[in-house]
Amino acid sequence: MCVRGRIDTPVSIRFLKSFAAERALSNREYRNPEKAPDRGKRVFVIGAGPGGMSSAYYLALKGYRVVVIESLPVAGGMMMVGIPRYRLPREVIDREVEMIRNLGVEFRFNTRFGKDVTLEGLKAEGGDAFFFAIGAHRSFSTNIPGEHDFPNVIPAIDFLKDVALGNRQKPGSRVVVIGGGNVAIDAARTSLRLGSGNVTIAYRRTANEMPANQEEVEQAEAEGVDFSFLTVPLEVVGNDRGLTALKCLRAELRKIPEGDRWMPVPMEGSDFLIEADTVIVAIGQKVDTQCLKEGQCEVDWTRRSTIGINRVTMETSVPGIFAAGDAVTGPATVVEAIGGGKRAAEAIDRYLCGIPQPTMPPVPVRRGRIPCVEISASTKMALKRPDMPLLGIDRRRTTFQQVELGYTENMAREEARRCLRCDICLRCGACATHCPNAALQMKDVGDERMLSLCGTTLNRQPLIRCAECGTVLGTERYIDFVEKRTLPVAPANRGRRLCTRCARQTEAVKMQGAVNPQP
Amino acid sequence: MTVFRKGQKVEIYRKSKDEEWDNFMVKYLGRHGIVVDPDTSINDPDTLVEVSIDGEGTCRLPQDCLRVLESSS
Repeated sequence: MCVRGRIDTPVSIRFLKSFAAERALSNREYRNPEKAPDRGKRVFVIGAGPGGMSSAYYLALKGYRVVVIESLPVAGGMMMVGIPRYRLPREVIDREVEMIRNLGVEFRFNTRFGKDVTLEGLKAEGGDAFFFAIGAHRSFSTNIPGEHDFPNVIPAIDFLKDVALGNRQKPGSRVVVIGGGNVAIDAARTSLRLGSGNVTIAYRRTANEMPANQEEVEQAEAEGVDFSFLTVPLEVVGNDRGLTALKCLRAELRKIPEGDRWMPVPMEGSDFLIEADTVIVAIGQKVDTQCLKEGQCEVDWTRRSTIGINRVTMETSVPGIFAAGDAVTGPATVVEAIGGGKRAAEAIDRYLCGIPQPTMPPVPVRRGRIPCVEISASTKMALKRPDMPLLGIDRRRTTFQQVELGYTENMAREEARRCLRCDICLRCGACATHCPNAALQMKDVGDERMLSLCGTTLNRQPLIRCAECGTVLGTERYIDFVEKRTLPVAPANRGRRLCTRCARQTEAVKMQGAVNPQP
Repeated sequence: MTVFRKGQKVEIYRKSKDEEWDNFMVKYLGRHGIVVDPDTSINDPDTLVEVSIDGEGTCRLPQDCLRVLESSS
């Protein structure tokens, strides 16, 4: 997490990466790395979402023959059929897919695991390993009366999928979306773009508890989406001609005992109607467990109905079968799915090469040392994150053009200059030791090490003490830095943090025990 | 139970009894981190919370092993 966020707003990695990626694509500098020679082994990837495509990409680079099985007619998974085009243009995904295809990855679209293919069938085709990234594409239902009585009560995921696949009919004139997450916001904004006159989001808590991204909520409000907070759906009301309204109750937030969690409690007699001809349900997604069972894939499941895996290696309970993405974590971010796919590709490579799997997840490593950009402290602190330029409001309400227009080069440079470069200082204290005027001071106060410049506290970090005698050893980061460099010659003392004196004593006792063993 | 929000500083202060707790996570005990993704169902004590742990990368953890740190410095 960005340290700048503790002062004002974090450096926007998303906006900066987007700028860098677009510039590289535009300059034709975005190319596939060299592929390893063919290893003669075949891996089947089930699901062409972010997790599946990432693993396909890395496996293809390692020289495996990869086949991606996808039930939809397009690749991209939730990125393609869940995230609307105005947030993520499909051309970007198409381009990524084409690059993966150029590595020799075969895509089989409109092929559903469990219906069109089974695990045994894929094994018969020569599959040496399998990776499941089937996502979480099934909607939870509200279980309120009338939900299943009218065709115009639609799960949000199905609605967004239909729109993404080309069915761009107006869902209704008065749309109510139930939920408060990003999917609910996407469904509401998509309805507006398709021509719905009134779109209301009914959420049972307040704006503060909404799990949707704040900027998405603000953009939806600006586009004309209404919000009805503290609203608990009670019943879908209709007549012979169809759906007419959503009956709701007002709620109030009450603090539950033993904690600071606030729960919405419906208020008796506060029921009211929100007129509607379409209700879109966006209260969460779950994994389709049935397709794996139908495909004769007997992996273990968690109590959350997600695929149970070893979280270091992404291995399931069945050897040779790996899984990642929303199917493992439940609905989560695209970035997490991509990370899971990459980790799974590395684990599949080890599995196929007969290399033992690790027991600990990899620790992030520095890829390079980037020189600092010189900038005065006052300028650095005065810099604010540039506002992202947005498409005009009328065009936003009528088209699916990308809303965020992207940073200009100047904006990207300004935003990058806000970075505090917290990757450089280790809190070793050498600067404070050598400062002739004691302007820079490093003091241990209580359980913290404080770094201050002319009386201004720059940083506080918890102190680590010797596990035996309590002597101060330094900060976590400093000890890590020293240990990484000394580990080959001075192995860690069974994970215990000891000062030099205690480490010597412990070692001496151990050696004495070895020379003169107790009878 | 505590509500976790994006950007909160948290500590992994004890082992979880949840099945999602793995042995390797013992290494994270006592570590601090920032909540990156409190998941789509905020306010649900059962969902896993993604935490960016100092120096260790990100990990999705059960909520009962986390506590919010008051100080953000």
